Amino acid sequence: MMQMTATPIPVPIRPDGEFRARLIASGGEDLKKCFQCATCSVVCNLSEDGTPFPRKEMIWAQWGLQDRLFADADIWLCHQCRDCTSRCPRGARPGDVMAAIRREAILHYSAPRWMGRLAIRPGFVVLLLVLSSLVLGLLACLHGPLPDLFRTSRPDRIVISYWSQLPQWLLILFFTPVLLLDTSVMVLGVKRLWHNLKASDPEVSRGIRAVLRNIVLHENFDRCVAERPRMYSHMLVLFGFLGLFVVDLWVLTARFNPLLSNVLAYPFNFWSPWKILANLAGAAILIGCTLMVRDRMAGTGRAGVWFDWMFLGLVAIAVLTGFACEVLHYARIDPLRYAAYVVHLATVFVLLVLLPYSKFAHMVYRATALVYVAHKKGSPQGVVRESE
Amino acid sequence: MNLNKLPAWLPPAVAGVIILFPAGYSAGRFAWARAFSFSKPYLELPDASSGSCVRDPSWMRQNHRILLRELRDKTVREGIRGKITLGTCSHCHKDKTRFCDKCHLAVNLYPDCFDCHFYSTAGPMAARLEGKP
Repeated sequence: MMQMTATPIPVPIRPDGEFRARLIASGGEDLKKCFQCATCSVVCNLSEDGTPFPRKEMIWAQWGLQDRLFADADIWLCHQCRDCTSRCPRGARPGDVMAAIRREAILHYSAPRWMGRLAIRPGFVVLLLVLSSLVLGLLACLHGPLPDLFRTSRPDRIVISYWSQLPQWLLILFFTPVLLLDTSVMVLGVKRLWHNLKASDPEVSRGIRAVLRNIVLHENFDRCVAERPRMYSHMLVLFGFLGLFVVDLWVLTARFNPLLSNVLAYPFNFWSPWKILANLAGAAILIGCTLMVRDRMAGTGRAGVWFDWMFLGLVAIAVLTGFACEVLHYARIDPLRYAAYVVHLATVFVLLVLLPYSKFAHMVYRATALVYVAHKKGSPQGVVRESE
Repeated sequence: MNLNKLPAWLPPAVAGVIILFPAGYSAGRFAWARAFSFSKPYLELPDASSGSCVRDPSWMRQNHRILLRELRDKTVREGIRGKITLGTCSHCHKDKTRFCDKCHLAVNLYPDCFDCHFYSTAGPMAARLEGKP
């Protein structure tokens, strides 16, 4: 049943040329080639019978109907496996158009919006990276040895910082506000998306469990055909992030964690399970990023616009400088290891600042859309059917 | 390797085991230490009568290597032998294996100083270095 969500009362449509121009500029160049044959919606394995996509999104995009696109859960169900793009008789590349729509949606739901507009400028991000490196470096060089502010919490715990000029307590005080800010911006964005999806039903816990299962097992990715192996690069990066997140939690709470049986809380032994996990997770992200870069450079996809590269690039720089810190530390190359550390911290800082305005934000918005759809449909898209 | 033949649940399962292992290991170690009360002192602290350290202990914890390097440069390169020597350390921290080595070994740190130099334990060597009879 290929019908647009029918509106019984005629509503005047105001095409938004400016929005359409933005879509075209951010990767949807071939948008206008679409002649509505609906091959894309038919071949898409992720698209469901009731509300197929991406045909309807293609015409909404051609008309620049941004309100409909931003209130549409289906843009988040697309995993850009390019099954549609590879079969499109007109070469309109619906997968890339959907990606461009998601990009605009992330910027639309982020707050403040001018921050999102700044984040898509390469110059701004490079400036931010250089500035925060300089500030951190100067901060570390200007002052003398700092007293341990957290000393009173657990006097029997030993935590040796990587660089005593930038002790752990200083970094915790420095990064926690950014993380809290990130969380509030993304919670706000998710609330606005949810409001637009017009679902205010509180009984979504079943949907949430099923969606978590879907995300962990990559069930939607698994249904892609043309570029199914992208699933594995995504897995490497996602699970790598999870691993590093767990290690970070352990390190940051080391001073008051009652489960810690060692007096020496940090640094780890190279063969400590935590260190092994951190190294494996870092390697997983690095391999995943390399595979993603390879996929983007390969003929099947477009190289993508700055927005696509920004998050990937920052993650790659963060992991590479992290490993550089480790190697330089074990090699005891003193001034250089501090420089690498400062660049590493600055990259992580920029990554955290830009989190809600970068591709990372797909994590919260896609999860929200999946929960919404799973809840709305009972036999949900985004949830593997029991019979399978 | 044909990735399409790999069951989709396998990589998440492997990742889950790897990610959860350290937490399980630490919890297990904690329970083990609790059950068999292995709580031996980690660092052998000097007794209270030894007086205070030559620097603030929390500074020493991070930066003793800087102090030792400064002392080395002063003594060996500039020929200025001050009051503080390695012998001074050993007055209070009598056993290297129960103090210095504890952390160093725990973080794979093997300073090669003591391959040649002798860490005397407040014996005649230390006294001589400090100019006492």
